[in-house]
Amino acid sequence: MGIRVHLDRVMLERGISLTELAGRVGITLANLSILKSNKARAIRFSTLDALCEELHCAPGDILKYEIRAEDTE
Amino acid sequence: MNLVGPKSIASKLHLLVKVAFFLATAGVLLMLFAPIFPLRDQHHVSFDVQSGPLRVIFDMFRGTEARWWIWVMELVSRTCHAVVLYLLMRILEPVAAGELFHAKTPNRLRMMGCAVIISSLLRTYFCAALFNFWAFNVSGTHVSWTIDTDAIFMGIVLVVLGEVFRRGYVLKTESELTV
Repeated sequence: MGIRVHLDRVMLERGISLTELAGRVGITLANLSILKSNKARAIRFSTLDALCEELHCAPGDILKYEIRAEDTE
Repeated sequence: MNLVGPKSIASKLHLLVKVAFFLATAGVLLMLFAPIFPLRDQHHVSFDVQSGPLRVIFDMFRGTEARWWIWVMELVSRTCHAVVLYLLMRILEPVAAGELFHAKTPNRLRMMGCAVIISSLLRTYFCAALFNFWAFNVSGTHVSWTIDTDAIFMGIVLVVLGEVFRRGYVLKTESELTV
């Protein structure tokens, strides 16, 4: 997928753990782990909203578009 | 009582199908070794062949090659039945555990549909061929035969259901990976 989740980098900058963030945002640790490891197929606006609110950032800080290797060839 | 999950109707059905599968497998194994045992009373040897509207008892084939053809047909047909029961048992396993859409269910349903169609066509073809063979030798007549459309229809329904379950599994995966 071209869209990459950089949740781990933002979490490191804010000094917050995965368990703590899951508790604050109100989603399960398993789901947050899926999101962090780039395995998620989709993300709800409500989840993104809650993450941005807790991490004090914009959606663009968490989600980045990266050009695929096959697109450059 | 729940329809799916542990201690549900599906789990009881799974147990029932499991027993039926083991009985069917035992039947196939017994049939496989049947030619080894010599037949004591040749006058009572008969083969009951049924396929859709046709039901014929062939007892006039004793001592001829025809009974071996019937034996092969019955063996293949019963093996198909055992395969259908096995696939049904494997389909019901995740359903009994509470998982409706399993990754392997679509393929199992497709294979089940194919086994039903093959079994039906095989029985109809052999039954008609043998019946014609008998009728021609006895009276010089030729009889017409029909295909068991019900079984073929069921087979097609199972193949279509396989596709429905495949899409269901895709939707389930999408839903699980949405955070």
